[in-house]
Amino acid sequence: MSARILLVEDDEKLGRQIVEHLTEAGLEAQWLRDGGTALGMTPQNWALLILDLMLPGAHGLDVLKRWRSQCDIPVLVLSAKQDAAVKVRALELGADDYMTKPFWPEELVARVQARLRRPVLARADRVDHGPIGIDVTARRVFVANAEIELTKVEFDLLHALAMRPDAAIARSWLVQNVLPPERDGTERTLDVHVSRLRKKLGSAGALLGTVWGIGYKLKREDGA
Amino acid sequence: MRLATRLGLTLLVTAVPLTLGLVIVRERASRTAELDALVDYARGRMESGGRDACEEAPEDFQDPPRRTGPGRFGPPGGRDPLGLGPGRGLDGGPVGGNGARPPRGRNPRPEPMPMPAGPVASRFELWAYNQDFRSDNPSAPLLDADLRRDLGTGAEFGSNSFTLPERSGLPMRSGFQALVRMPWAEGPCALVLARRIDLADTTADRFGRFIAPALLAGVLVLTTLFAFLPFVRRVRDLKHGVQRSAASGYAELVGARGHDELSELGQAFDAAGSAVRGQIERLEQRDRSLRAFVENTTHDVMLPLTVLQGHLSALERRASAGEPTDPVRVREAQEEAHYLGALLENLGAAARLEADEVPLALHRMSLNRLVERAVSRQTTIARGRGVELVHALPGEEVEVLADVALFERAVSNLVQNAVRYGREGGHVAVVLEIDGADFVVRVLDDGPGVADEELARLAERSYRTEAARRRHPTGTGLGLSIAKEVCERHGFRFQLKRAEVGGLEAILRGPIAPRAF
Repeated sequence: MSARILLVEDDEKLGRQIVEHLTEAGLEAQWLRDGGTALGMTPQNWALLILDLMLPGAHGLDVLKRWRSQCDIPVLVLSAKQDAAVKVRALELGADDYMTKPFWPEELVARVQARLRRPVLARADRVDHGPIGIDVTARRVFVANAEIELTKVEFDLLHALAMRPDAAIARSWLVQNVLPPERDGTERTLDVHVSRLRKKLGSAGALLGTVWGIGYKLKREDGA
Repeated sequence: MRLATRLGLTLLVTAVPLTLGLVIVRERASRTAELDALVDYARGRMESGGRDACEEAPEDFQDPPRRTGPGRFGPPGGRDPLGLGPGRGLDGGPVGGNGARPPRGRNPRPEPMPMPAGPVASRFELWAYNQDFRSDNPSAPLLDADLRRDLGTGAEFGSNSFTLPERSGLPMRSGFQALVRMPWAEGPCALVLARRIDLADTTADRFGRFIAPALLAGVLVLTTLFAFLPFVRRVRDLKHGVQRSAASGYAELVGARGHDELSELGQAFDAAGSAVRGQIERLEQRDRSLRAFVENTTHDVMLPLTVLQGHLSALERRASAGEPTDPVRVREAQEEAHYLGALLENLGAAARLEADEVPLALHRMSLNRLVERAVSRQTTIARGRGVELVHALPGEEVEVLADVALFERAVSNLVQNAVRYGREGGHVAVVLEIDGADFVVRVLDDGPGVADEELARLAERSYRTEAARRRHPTGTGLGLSIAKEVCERHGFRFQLKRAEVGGLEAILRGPIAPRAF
């Protein structure tokens, strides 16, 4: 079932474009053109609200205030104003994110999808990432259910990357937080550990990617 | 109303009633004194022999006696030297002597007694009447109704003024008279009319009584006016000075002389004028720099707009001809549109930075989200240019106290510069790190980078004058200078250096906002 999105935008062209892009991305969108109508809507019926601020009928901030008092579904604010106070006010009123016009439609779609992605219920004792399974308590790692032997540093490295899947992690952070402090850890040492870990992971080693200028990340299996 | 006119009127309005009041009070006092003197005179004369003379011959009594009757107090039927007219009894009836008393054996002539001092040379007369206001002396003047009324109510005396008509060559006379009840209260001399007949015209004298206070008031008025007129003149000079100063755009000073409140007022005007002048100069300066800035940047807005129009027109032509879309043109059009948007945002930021007095709107915000937004804004362009745009955030939230709009613009500018002017098909990395109590935002690319002397020039304060020239060819002018200035305004550190991986590395460093409890 596709997520239902409510868009409140008074500009015809921009509104049509946004609806078009959301629909292309497989999202179902309903479009309102004035703030007055938006005030009267029941926000619980939608998964996410995209709200322009300068609206006829009622100001976007008032709509935001009303909606926030009723539920806490994600609200993404569109603003043409550079005024910091308006952005801050919107965030204070509970907006989850804002976008300043002009923006690229795909940027908007990406933000919407990021907001809709439900946070995975993280279990502290078990992390699964594609074929890789990590038993945190027992400090054991499985690739396609077959256990592999890792050193302490290699385990900590994999665990650190798996905790934030698909996010680039800086070398400096890994050096500070993963390499044992008693040894004179350098980024080169880190690279050696990573290449060993990659080898041990076998076919799943391709998921451990290098990020230019930053460090490493554990990519999603779809290879994005 | 003019100051001088108002002052004159005020003085008149106060001086005239004051003078009149003084005159009236003085007149009253002198009237009372005259009456007292007249009453005393009448009683004194009657008690020192007048009564005897009167009771001895009431039909003849008159004091001083007429000259025609020597040895007598006053000869009957004598000529009235004062033209008092023939004595008539009240009600026009005969003046009859009744109840005449025997002489008391005293000297019938009254003792000489000093005349009460009058305002002018006067003559005094006494006439006797009985309780019924009748005189035995036919020459006695008729008693006025108001005198009779006064005595009738039991008063000891009554008084009024009187006028003697012009008669037989004698001018009109006026005088003052008092009807006095004698202590014995009976007989033909129970009441005595004491008259003071002014021998000269008292009009001048009365007028004279006005003169002194009026003169005094006049002198006061004139003195005040003369003292005040220079003040009025200086106020007028001050006004002209202020008008001149205002006309010259507050360049000319009012320049008040002296060391009093007026000159202080002039100095205050000068101080206010110079404050206004300073304000005007600041505004003019800002106006000039903004205008120059807009002029410089208009060129740069027009340039990408023209390129964009060119792309769109080419695309339209190809589409009409049924040819396939040229992806390079589409991408370039996107880039120009993106550049335009960022340029306008930067213009807004520059205008805010230019107005030094506008304070930063500092708010606590998540730097993680800010970096995400700045990166996601450039993803479309990066993909178009084949640039791999990556970013890394620390595992925890980094909060910072900053002006959201300005600081986000600063970070966006760095990312945009790296994407736009790095190597096509290259890399751009944006890293947010925690270094002790500081946050560090690093933006690095593997583009051609910037020559050392260029790096030094970017740090120059005068970048903006050259911005228009430098901006488009290298693209680093406006965006980087704004990033730098935003950091300076926040007290953050801004550094540009050659990245180890090649290309340019921009580093922002500042304090992490302390955790709020």
